[in-house]
Amino acid sequence: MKTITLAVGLLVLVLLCGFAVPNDVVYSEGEASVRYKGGYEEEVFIGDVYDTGDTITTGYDGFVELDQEGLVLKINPDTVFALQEKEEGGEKTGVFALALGSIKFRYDRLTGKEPMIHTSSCVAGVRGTEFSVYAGADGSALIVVDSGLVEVESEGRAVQLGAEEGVEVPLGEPPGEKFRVPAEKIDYRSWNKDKLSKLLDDPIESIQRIIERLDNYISNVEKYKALHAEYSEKLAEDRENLPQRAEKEGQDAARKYSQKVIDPLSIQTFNLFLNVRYYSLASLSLRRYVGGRLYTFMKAANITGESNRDYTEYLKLHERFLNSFESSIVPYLVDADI
Amino acid sequence: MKKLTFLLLAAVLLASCASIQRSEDEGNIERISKLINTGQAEQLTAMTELPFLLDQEIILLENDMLTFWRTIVEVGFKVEEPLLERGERIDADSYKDFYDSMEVQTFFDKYLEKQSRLLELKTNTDQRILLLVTDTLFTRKIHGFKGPY
Repeated sequence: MKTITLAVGLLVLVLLCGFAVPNDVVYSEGEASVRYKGGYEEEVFIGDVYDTGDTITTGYDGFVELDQEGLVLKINPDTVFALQEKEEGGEKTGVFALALGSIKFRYDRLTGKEPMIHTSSCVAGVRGTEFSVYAGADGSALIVVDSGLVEVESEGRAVQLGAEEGVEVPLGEPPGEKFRVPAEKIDYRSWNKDKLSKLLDDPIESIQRIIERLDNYISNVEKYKALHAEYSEKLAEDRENLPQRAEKEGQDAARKYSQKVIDPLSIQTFNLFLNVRYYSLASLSLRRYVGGRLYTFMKAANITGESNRDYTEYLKLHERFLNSFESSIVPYLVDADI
Repeated sequence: MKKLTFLLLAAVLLASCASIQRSEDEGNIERISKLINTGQAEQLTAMTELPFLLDQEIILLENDMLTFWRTIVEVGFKVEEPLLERGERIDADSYKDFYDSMEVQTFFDKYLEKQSRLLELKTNTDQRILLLVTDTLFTRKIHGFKGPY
């Protein structure tokens, strides 16, 4: 019964979420598809409007430009990008989640409520007007600022990037040293090729990093799940006591209490569950676009079954990764995510 | 007498349907094995339907499938003397043959078609491979690969 309630709750949450500002497709060329939050997929067309939970994938020759009231997103070829939401400081905030590939962001104006940018290895807070984010095959990220400021955070360390500055963030590590680089000189394909080689050169270390990142997401899922349970209990208690309050203090006082305490508590409770979903979807992205890809390449390279100690060790670690994912993340996924 | 004739005819028809299906399944494993053995990675990619199930992993990117087929060809993987061990229409429990998980179950429910078939083949080294295939009048699609095991 509990599982059914959770599944229905998740489905309702998936369908109810909506991005603060719609994202209009103003240009599209080559191979590009969108997977809607409901789970169905179709080609990207100019004029489409995308919302929270939608994922855009561009192929080898694909390019999509989105417009979000004062922000232009240029989604480059070979990119997987999702619109998500999470709770931050008590409020719902938009998240641009880049699983793979590269995107250029250009703000015409800043409102102070800009969505966060999430990759497998870091989170970037927008203070700047023009910058690019690259997500590599090994889960690492590269952020390059053309103008303005961007704050990049990973593993508890933050770095502020100014104009023509860049920083690389390996999976599971704090941001590296800042370097000066004009954005035009970054070639995503050659940068990513290097990341792919790194991923495959030491598969044991790669899968260990992936497991560490998954563990980090799982601890966040558990933290927000516990908080959500605590808030839900408080909310249920407050709602249950409301008729008594009305009887004791009058209908007006009860209505005021409901508006001042119960309604915000209800929103906070919902937002906390939003974070459970956010970290679950981040784990799914890590599984599909980093861990799953490593498995595909390792499997192909070792398919002849020749004895290889590294591969055997890798498979054991991958199994561990799968087990953690199955037990801690899958309960928060719905069919539409698959 | 009429009833007996009808029953006999029905039995013959059923048997021939089963044997037609078996020969289609055999044809599929032979063709796919031949494409692997002759290094036709591009053709295999063209037949590959996305998302694709590799063991327990769901692959979403076409480039990754091309890399997969190219790499298995490059490392010299061959499917020698493939023999059809089992060919069956997928049912509610077929996903367990690949991997028993919510993701794989959803993949089977969501991305496979009513006429999709689970084919199990055995090689001359006694290894087994599972394939998920859908045949239509003019196309053949591969949805999944498991093994060799």
